Amino acid sequence: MKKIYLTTLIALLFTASYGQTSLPFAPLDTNFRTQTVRVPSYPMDFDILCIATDCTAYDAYSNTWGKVKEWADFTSFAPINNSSDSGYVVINNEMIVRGNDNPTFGGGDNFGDGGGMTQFKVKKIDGRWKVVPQGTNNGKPIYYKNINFTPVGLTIANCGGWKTPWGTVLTAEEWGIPNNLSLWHGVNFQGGDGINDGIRDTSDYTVPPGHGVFSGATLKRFQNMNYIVEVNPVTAQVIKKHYAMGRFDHEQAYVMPDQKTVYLTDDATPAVFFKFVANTAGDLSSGILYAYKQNANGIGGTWIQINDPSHSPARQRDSLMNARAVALRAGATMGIRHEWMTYVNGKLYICETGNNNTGDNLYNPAKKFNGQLEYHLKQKFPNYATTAIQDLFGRVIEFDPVTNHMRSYLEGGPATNGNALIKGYHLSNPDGIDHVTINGKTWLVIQEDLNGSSHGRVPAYLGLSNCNTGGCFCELYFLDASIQNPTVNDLKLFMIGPRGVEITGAVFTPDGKTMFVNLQHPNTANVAPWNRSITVAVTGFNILMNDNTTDLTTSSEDNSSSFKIYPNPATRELHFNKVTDVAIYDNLGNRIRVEREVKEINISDLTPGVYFIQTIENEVQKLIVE
Amino acid sequence: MRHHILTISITLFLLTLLALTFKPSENDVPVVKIREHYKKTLEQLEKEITHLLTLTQNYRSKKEDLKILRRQFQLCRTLYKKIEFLVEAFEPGIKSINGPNIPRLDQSQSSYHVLEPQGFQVIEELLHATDRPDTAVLRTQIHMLIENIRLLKQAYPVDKIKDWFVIEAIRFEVWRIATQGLSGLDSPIARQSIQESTHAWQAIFTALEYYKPYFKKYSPHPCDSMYSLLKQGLDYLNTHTNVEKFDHLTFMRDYIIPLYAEIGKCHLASGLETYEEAKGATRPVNYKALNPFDKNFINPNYYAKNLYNSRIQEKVALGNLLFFDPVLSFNNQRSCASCHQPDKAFTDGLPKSIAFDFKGHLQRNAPTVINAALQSAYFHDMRAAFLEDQVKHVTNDPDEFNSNYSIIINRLNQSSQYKKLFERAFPDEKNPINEHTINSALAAYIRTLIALDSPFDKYMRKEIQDINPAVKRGFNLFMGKANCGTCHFPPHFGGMVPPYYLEAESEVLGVPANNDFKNPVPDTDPGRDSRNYSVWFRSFKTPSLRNVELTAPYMHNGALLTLDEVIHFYNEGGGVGLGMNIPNQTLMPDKLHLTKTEKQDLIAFMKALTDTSKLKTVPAQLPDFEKNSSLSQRKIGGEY
Repeated sequence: MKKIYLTTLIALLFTASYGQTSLPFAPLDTNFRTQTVRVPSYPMDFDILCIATDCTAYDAYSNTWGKVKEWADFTSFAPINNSSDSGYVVINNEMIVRGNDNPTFGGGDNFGDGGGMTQFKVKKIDGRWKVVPQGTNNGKPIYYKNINFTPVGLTIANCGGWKTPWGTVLTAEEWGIPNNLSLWHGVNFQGGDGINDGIRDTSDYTVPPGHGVFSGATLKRFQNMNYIVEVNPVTAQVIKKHYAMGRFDHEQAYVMPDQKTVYLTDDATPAVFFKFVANTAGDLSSGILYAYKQNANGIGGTWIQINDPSHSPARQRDSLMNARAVALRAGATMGIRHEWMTYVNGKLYICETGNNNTGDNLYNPAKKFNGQLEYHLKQKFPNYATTAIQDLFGRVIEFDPVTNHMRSYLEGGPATNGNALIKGYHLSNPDGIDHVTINGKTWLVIQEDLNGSSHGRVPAYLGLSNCNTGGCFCELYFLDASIQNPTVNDLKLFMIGPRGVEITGAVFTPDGKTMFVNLQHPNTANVAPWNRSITVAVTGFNILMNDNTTDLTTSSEDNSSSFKIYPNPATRELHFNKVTDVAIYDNLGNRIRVEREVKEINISDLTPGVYFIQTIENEVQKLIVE
Repeated sequence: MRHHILTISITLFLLTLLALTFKPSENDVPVVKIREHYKKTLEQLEKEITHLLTLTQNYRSKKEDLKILRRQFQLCRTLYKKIEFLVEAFEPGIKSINGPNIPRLDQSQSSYHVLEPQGFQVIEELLHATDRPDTAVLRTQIHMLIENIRLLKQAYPVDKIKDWFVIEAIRFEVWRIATQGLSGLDSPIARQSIQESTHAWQAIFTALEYYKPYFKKYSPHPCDSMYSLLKQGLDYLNTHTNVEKFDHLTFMRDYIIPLYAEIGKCHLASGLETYEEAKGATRPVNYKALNPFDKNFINPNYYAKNLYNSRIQEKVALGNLLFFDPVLSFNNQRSCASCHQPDKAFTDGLPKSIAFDFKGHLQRNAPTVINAALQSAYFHDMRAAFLEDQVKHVTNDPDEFNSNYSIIINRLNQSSQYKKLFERAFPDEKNPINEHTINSALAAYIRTLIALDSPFDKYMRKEIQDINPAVKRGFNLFMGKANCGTCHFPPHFGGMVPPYYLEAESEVLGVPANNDFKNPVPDTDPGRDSRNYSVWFRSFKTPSLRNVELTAPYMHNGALLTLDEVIHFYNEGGGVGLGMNIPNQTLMPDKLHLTKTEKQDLIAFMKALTDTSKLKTVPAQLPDFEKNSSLSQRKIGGEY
């Protein structure tokens, strides 16, 4: 009876998760034991490229050296001659740090106030990614360069972004700054004491020529924040602040292949989905901004014009600087914190990360104006007109630029198929998203940034109720982009970040063999270097792409009765030839771990030595952990 | 050869003694029945709450209508109590369904949000606090509860329920009944705590019945006494239904604790895995401890920032020296032991500690560091989450050590003795004397200052057979009429929330600025409210009451000089009860109406929590600074 049950289960496993869409690596088991990053063991590996506050960068603008700022968020890879083995990486540093004189956070050698970006040149040498020097300063080799934003009146909270088709990079300023006092304090921005941690130069800023209707305008300093800024990833210099794309909580800007249309996300509640159409292809400094208005029946939608070229520059500036309010007054569609986007198969996939409690933001007329909730949110939260929404898990939404149709593509939450190999899969608060093609199949790459630890978003034993002191665990998932109506059950877990980390900025080399990714704001109690923001290059895709047989899940479909374990000796993961219940004993005979209905387990936390693996059927194998 | 024999013998050992146990045959899997029970009860609960919503919509301000509403609410609560053990195991202290009726702060990445309370306790208060409930608010709250149950179902599919999970959930429920249910924590208005605890008890009894054949087959430890304790406890609850007269002490000592022990023994003997084995992670509660009053019940290492398994003794010895060494302070006069004096139970006996250089005093009262390691928040305002992190606040505070780490590191490096001690304690560090190692050593020492051997502990462990009747009466008042136990939770009688002890609580009591109760003035200290969130205005950590006999004066500001004054303060209903305007007070403002004898009994109980044995570890001498003789001129423990 039991045997039949097991066999059926195995058969189910393979049809459900591997039969149709074999991913060329074994998905990870959910495991939250580690303070370090986890990816499938063979053949994946990773190289650390940049550790915040540990790496020293050169700032050519001010001719100074300083520490790389904290909170690496967005990443971009600018290949040299379209190579996938060498290029420039730029990362956003989201943390707002005041310069030089804050000894508590990062010592006395921080770069100037506000947010920032870091650039470095990488090269694959003997299969490993290395950061290589880009010249010298006073005889000291320059590995990392700080991108100085003084020429555009500084930036704040450099968060998401994307590369343009013409090779530059856009960086998005998030976290709406309401006034100069907040700007000066850096209010609510962690990493400081909340006093005088922000941008201390609060003088008015006059926009230089070449910025459309903003040219020559004098702005309060805080009004000079929260835009999209264009930078050159090769020279590590800022190009322009693009006022024409409006002022709101910019999360990401995605330039379409026509080089004129840019989709823009707004990380707020309510969030408005924007579109910018440039007057000239490749020049984002002037154009028209629009806001999305979904049709009442949820099918298709239209675009509300925010600025009208026939209006005076002052009036257009006013509209653009209050873009969200203008949009909502005109009946724009409201979402719950829009994050990153990726454009694949003719559709935009947008992470709507959710919000634990929207308060009255979505029904109070003084806050929502004439805004209408996204159709899928109305369906999911029928009491939206009078009650705060608890959108705990968020979702990925799909937008069709041709028909203007928006729908929920993948709802967050726990996996429901009870599949033993993917026990506990749980998509919560998707934030970053990209796509990659491996072996002809295109995958969406979805990255989490947890809003909280309740409702199974992290295991209950972590206990502490907030992600900062307790430690949330975020994951990176692959999803077959050809699935029309996916569920969480279709996700393949690829990476678990160290405690407290937001996984973000995943981006691939042109050949899809390497993924650069940031592990942002880890818990400072983690083991070094996983206690600071870190940029890693995940490799091994190249081996997979040359070797289609390396499918750990199917290569071991040996259902013979005897129990086998491999590899042995092992270091990180151990595989069995069948799904079974196992207990691990140390060499003193103490049972230290029990795993039920597994075919692979993570053993990376076991100290090297001799262990015994015993199954439900009392078969015993000796294991050596190295 | 020798190795080979060892291997074989171990293998044999495994096969015979430590075999992993498994579910019995598929048709008789207890967990399947538990899952069914859970699913069905949850569905029924949803149905009944929806019905409650209908009743609310039909409510026409008539007395009979309200009665029907209250009855329907009670039915919903009863259903919840039947699955509480599983829901709470999914999500300890789940606030959205049965959290306290108090707004709280939710910290996400870059900001805090005030979350308004939701769930049963809010609805209970709406239905019971007046005879004319606000039905609009009520409807919104019931809607939210339905939504929260839907979210619960979505977040925790039934297949997350495993055998070990069920047994552990039951064991923790037993302790929850004793420490939360029966003390009236979650039924403060309707006062249905005994009836509801009975339903919870019945539910775990039923669940464990499913495991009877299983334990019979696999557990070498006979589990009969577990089942008879379940029966006896149920009988006790059914026959002692008077909330005022409930004998918490007898029930805890003779039913709860033995049952807690027996469930643990059966679980461990049966070969089912534990949480630690299944998850590869630890929790604060040491599951192997059989009695919550055992010294090893809470594992202080869980709360440590960085856990070291090596050279613990060296770290402790080094931390002990640092604790008493004034070299940490800028003027070489002030040590940790200045305000935390071993002969005053590691306090200084003052309302507020003397500031650096004897210039004025600090803002708050110095708490004891005994048992400080058994919590997850430090300082009265809970601003540090780890022992290791609180050190920095003291060293950098101009009123305390008035120093910083570069000064301290520079000084310690001038002592070859200290250098050697750091090298020995932290052999893997490149520069062994650094901020991190100083903090770790001090924390390692404080983690040894644990004293859980008071007369009351011994009584609860049955090491002594009797205790002063006043202590017994006092404990019953503490857990009952005086409402102390709803915030000062056993076994440490502090704010760590049972039964998992993951979360530390703070409360707004409305503590006056001084002990002039006739003309009370609110204390001006904002407490946790460092970022202008009124929810935390005047909110302070709930401290452990162990050694409270020795730690006068009391409260965060030392305003209350004696335990009598403290009890008077609570008896009056805190700040609001004294007549002050404390809009967000979380303490019930009602008078407790304690008699003089009852007050004495409470004090007798608190005095039975004293234990400072084996903690006086003043070093005989401090390391020498051979390169800087001026530093060597210092007093052990500093001047104060």
